[in-house]
Amino acid sequence: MIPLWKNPEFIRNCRAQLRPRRLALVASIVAALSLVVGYALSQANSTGWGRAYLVAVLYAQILTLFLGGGVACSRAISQEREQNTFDYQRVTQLTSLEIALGKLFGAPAISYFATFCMFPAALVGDVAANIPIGRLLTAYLLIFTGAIAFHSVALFVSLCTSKSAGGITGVWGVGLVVVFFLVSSASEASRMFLELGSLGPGAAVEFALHGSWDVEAPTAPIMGHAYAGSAWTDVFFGIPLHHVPVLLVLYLILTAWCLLPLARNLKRDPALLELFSPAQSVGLLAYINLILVGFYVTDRPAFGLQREYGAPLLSVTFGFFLVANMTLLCVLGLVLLRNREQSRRLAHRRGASGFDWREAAWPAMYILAGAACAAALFLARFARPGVFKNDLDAGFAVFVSVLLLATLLRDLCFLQWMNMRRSRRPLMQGIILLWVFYFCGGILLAMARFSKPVHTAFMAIVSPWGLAISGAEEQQRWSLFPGPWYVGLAIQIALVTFFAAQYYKSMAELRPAALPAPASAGTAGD
Amino acid sequence: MIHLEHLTKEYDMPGGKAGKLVAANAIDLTVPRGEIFGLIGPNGAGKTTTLKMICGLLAPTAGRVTVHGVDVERHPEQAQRHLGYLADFFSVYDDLTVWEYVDYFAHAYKMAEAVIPGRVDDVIRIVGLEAKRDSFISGLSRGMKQRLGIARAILHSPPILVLDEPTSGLDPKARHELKQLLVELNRAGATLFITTHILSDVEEICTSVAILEKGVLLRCGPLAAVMQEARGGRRLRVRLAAPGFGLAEWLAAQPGVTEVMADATSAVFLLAGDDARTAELVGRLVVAGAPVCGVEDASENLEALYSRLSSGETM
Repeated sequence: MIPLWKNPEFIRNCRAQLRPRRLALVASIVAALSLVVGYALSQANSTGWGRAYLVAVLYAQILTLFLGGGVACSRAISQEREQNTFDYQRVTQLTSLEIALGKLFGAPAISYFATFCMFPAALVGDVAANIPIGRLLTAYLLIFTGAIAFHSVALFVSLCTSKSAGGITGVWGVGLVVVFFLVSSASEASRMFLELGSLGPGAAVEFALHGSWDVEAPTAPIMGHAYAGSAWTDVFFGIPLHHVPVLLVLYLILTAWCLLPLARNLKRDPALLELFSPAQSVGLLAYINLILVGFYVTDRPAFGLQREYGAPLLSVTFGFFLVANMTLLCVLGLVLLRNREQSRRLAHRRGASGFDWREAAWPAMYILAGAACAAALFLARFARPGVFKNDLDAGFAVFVSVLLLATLLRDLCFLQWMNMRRSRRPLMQGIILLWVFYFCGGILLAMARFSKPVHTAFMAIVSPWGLAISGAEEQQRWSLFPGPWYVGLAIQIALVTFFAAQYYKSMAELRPAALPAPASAGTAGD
Repeated sequence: MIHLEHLTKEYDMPGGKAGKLVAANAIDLTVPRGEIFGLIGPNGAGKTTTLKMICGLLAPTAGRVTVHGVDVERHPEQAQRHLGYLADFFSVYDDLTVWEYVDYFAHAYKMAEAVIPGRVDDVIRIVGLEAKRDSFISGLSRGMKQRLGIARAILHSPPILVLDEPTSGLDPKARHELKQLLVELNRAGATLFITTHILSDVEEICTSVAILEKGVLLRCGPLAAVMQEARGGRRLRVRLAAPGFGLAEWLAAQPGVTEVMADATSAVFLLAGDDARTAELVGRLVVAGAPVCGVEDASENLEALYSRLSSGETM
């Protein structure tokens, strides 16, 4: 592995972006803005201007790094594909990881420079606000680590975006992630169900202003108010941890998860993109579950959904994990879908020997493995007496999980079949058709709500997703009239089989036919 | 050096039509060391696809490519070490200078640090861009950018150069210079694999040729052999000093002679056989009393041959 400072891709980006005249221009703009803003703040508020100035500078740095650098990274690969320069990188001796690292740190070079130019202003604000320098340095550690994680997400988006729509899609992707980061910085939303502080870069600003290194375990809520304890304490499997190292570790692991598909795919034929291997997909699902299970609140009700405090309800926790895992499994299922090119290669490799049912029901095996993994983690953590108030029928929980899993497989097998269509964006067409199906189904379901039996039957067959957040009423209906639900499950399984058979048929068409034999072949220079 | 084994690449028909487009149909081909190999065919014949599969940029649907004995799909980086690649489009980093561009690829090919400065200067000199060493690429002409592409391809001294339409779009002078450069590189030991639809270039510099159409290899081998094989022999013209011999009848009666077209004092015909057979036929003609004043090669050029072999696709 080439060290970063010798990485040719990093050096190329730096050379192209950091020309002396450009650097002088950026430095002058930053200096002028810093001086004007600093002067204006000191005139407006002569006592507390240092703190306000520091906040302004830190947020300016965050925006420059995250937005500017993010946009640069989101175009780093797609733009090269568009300009046809990427193939030349692919035939060099650089490994995919080296190219990825070169782009990760090189593409946002000018954003890093602008951020560095703001350091003196931040230092002035820090001194004026009388904030310990250690806190400011810790804040910068969080900002830069967060920026690297964010840039790796943007680079991942750039890998996934197609040649023609690369720029636009990439910018949209980055925009969404920026919104997420800023929102998660501004609020303590994550504390609603996880003992985990804010994940955005705003946490760094907060730490610079009010941070402390105290680790204080949360105590039980009193009189309906939120729990007491240090705002900088997270709880992982019952162990209190300081938020700063937790955030750093989460950022680094996120970076690693984004670099993994880059390292797998950057030099690969774009038509055969495979973001994660099936085993890695299951691993990613297990990792996210580990985070959710590990940080999940156990000593107070999550979401504030319960009217009375005390032991949290198992049904709420089950619903949360069911929704989270169905969403994750859906995303991972979409990642694993094969396109025509991948299926064609597989068909040629298998030749006349054909495929077995596991190939036809792709990616069912891995979805089931992921679900088993998530269920095992859930049970290991929460299926102990005394953790929750058990208001959940075990039979109902198992049935709902199986039914929803079958429904998810139905949709994924449908999309896999659709993905074999001959059109420019077959998967998108499949997703649109599925959306239309659910939209119409939702309207009909709403219309049928006045007739319980019809509603139940319709829900079981068309769209049982509402069961994920069902309450006691749904449990009762299930135990009284289980028939329609079992019919619903049987229909989902039949549909999975039907769509798998269609995919199998499409695969069979791609098998090598008796092509006309080449008229001549030979050796040059004979 | 380059070995294609049952190489197949299939695509869907454009526009969602039924059927498949076979860009490479089970191609078996070997290009030995030291050749200038020309792959010719009309647009859409599968030339670029084949070339990209050789470089490991496209994965074949079936079959395999080995370069220097290394499987390209299994060990792309190891195989690419032996390859220099030039695409059919100008794609360079306009915001770098010529020197920075070549230096970037020298490091990207992981050349030894100590040799890079010298080699970068050497290569810039070889392609004749010394005067533009510190100029930005955005200011270079099309021909200069093409030469810069060649500089990048030969930088790490690969034994094999894979060039996609290297002369297309260049003015006659730049084309001539580039062809000379390619021949020099070949003399220096490089094996060249070139795709082109400019047949005169192939005739001028290539030692071997393959004709590809709709993914099917129609002919392959040394240039002269391919043309001879395609013709079923060698086409000769015999000229007589005076009319009256009955050349057409005499030739038509000879074994191995076909496609006789004659007038009173000359005839063009196809003779199945080698130089010895030609000498024997001319000797018998003289003995028969024909006033022979000249025998010359009347071979059709590659363009005529290609037109005859192909199904009328335009190049």
